[in-house]
Amino acid sequence: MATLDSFMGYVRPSGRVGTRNYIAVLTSVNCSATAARMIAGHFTPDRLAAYPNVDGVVAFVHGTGCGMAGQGSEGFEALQRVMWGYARNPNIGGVLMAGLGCEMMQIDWLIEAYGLSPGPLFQAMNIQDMGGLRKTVDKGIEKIETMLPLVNQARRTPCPASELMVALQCGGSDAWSGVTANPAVGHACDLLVAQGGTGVLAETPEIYGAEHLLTARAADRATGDKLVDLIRWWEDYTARNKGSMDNNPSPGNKKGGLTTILEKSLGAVAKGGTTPLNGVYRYAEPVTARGFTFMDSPGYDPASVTGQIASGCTLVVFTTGRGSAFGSKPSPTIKVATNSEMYTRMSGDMDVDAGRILSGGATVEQVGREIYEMWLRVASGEQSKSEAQGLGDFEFVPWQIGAVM
Amino acid sequence: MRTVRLSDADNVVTAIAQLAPGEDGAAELIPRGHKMAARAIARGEAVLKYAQVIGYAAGDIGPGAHVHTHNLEFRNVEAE
Repeated sequence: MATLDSFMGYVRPSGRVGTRNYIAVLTSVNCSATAARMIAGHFTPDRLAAYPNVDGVVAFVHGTGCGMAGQGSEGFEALQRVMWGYARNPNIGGVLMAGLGCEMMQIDWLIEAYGLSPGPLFQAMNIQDMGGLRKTVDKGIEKIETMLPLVNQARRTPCPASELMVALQCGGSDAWSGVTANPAVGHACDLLVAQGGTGVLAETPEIYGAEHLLTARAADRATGDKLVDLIRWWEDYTARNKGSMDNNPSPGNKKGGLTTILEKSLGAVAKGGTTPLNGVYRYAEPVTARGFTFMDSPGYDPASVTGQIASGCTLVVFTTGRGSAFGSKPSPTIKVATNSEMYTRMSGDMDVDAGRILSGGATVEQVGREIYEMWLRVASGEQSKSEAQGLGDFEFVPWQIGAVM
Repeated sequence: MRTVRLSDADNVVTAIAQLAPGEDGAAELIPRGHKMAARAIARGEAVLKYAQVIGYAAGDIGPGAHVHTHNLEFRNVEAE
């Protein structure tokens, strides 16, 4: 009974498929943040009306890029992967990179390291060479105006569901996350993987104590070992920072019914469904395997999603019990509520009510299929609730590892 | 039925509302969100949720009994 599911996507020159078509103003350092915001801010819906196939011009600004150790340090390399990952995400049709000029995260080095060739759809500039903020902003606007007609030429065509890569995320979890929303997302992930598509689970601290559940599903020994290495890194990282990894149920968790660390981690891992673990990746590293994969990240949602999008995810699914007003660009977030009370209370923000599993109105499989079908529709252009509200301009949060100097 | 079973292989189910003894198979009071034994579980037997081992029975558990910190213990499970 095999069907080949499809969605309407943007096929890029690389062969990868996007679900959106944005122009990105990427910043190498915090010092160019205002310039980037002013450039992107110029392109209001009125000014973009002539380019209906362009979803918007978005500035990805952040708080780092300097005051940090350089090449060879974990933090620097993670930030490089984020920059490159966003530049090449299939949801981005054109890139303007803006820097200050003297920052640690040099744009020229980035271009050279990743073998990028500047062209009409990939341009770079820095404030020091341009001669200040105003001239940078004016030049940036001019550059994007040349990109718009080109990016607007992109058209959606039918693409197989195998070309979707979905970030699996949970935040504001409650006692029901592991019983309703996460298993439903897991079923949706299984459906996508059956089509040849990809799900990316992250948030390494949340699987701590139950990593054997994932290694037991690893496609091969090397993949399982990579996951174990990540766990060892986290133990060292938290010890160095005088914290400790303890995913044991808290008193609040126990009151809510969670008994063991395995049960709590299983609740998180349930988002990944039941298929083999085909790849384990560093933070923001390109995900190349198909099927169910894992990417290292902190549990902190904005940083985790930033890494998943940099890895190549073109959609994000986010389960929540207490509620969330998170949204993301260039890959939109679909929100799944664990309980109907919160779904109703926050109906302007929630896309799917998994609380119906509790009321007996739907099974895990039925809600899972609804989530999967929504992925196909949102991938094809239907807006999620968070997307319709314009969220996603402030949620670019590269994981900062290491000393700020 | 006010319980949720996550997998056919599971020997516990989760109560989606507080269950009094006699309701929906409960042998004793089951708080909302807590686990109840779906059948008898022998001491030392694996307790399964999501078709995965979440711990081991610390004593014999009768069908419909509350399963929580008093009778479910975690042991280090080695990867095979």
